[in-house]
Amino acid sequence: MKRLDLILNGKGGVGKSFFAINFVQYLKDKGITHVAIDSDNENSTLKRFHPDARFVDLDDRRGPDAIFSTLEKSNLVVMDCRAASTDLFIDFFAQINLPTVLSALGASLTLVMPVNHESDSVDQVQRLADEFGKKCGYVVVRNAAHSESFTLYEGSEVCAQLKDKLAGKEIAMSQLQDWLVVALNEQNLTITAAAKHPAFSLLDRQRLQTWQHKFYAGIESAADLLLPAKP
Amino acid sequence: MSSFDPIIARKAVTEFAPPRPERFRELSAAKDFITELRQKRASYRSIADLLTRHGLPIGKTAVAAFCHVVLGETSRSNKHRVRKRPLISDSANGQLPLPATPPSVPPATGNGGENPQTRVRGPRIAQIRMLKPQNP
Repeated sequence: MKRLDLILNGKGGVGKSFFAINFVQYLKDKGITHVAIDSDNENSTLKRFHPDARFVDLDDRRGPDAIFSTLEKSNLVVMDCRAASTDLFIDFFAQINLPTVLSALGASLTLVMPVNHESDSVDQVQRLADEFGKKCGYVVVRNAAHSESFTLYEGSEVCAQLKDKLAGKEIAMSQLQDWLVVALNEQNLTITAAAKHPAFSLLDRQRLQTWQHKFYAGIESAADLLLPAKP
Repeated sequence: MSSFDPIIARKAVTEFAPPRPERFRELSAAKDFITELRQKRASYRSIADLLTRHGLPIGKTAVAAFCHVVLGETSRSNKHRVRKRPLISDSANGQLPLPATPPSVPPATGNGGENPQTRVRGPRIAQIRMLKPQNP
């Protein structure tokens, strides 16, 4: 079965693109065929690190159609959704009758929703779960880049709802040392590339690999929701 | 023929005003019809077509101008139409407005979601539903 992974949270700065960059790198490292799509016309971060990613213009009324035309030809489409695009997707999916389209394509949708310590990011998860219910799968990415406290999320109804009723899964995305984040951004390098790059010291390469191992383990723990189902 | 009198001529020049066409002169005769048609939600184009068919050739732009100036309609272009999205109040501090969604409209829940038609464009304040603390 095909899979569409939308990395979506209307709140900006919650780690959507950071997750997307590393998830797409995981797919490349594992040789999993996919199409990556960036939809951020102001900061196309995914495309900066993965220039082969396509671009979809969400401001074009028929722009999002390209997501599904791509899914027709690929078993896995991963899309980094720009901030403040939740309404747009809710409206678009209502317009096209999402379950019918997914069924026609033999595809499943997974919403990958990074959250952090801020209430706005949790509110967005709640909103998406309220909206789509059992129409899609859910993976919550706990992004500890700014804080390791997830008190708001853990105490929310939606956290329990996702676990108990919607078969959602959680992935931890631990903090990467700030100087490494800066260095990766300076050179537009993914962790896989940086881990072999002479500009990074042996210890920093080790730090990067340690972080990546943990991240990849998280991805694999939710592989049934993130990757195409094996026939 | 009387002789030229500069004083009288000056007075005549001062008082001279060229005849100006009265704006909406033709449409004024159809004011009641236009008012009634607008009350029936007829478009400017429909009104223009109807009047033209009945011997008063006129364009929709003129009808629109007449409606704005004479009937006092306010213009409302698509650009300025505002989409509606519900405002969510922050009950924790009570300083923000109440939800725009009327009480009769059920809040977005589990498998339904909110109707794009009722969504009010504007600020959206996070309002997380927290689990109730369990008694020991």
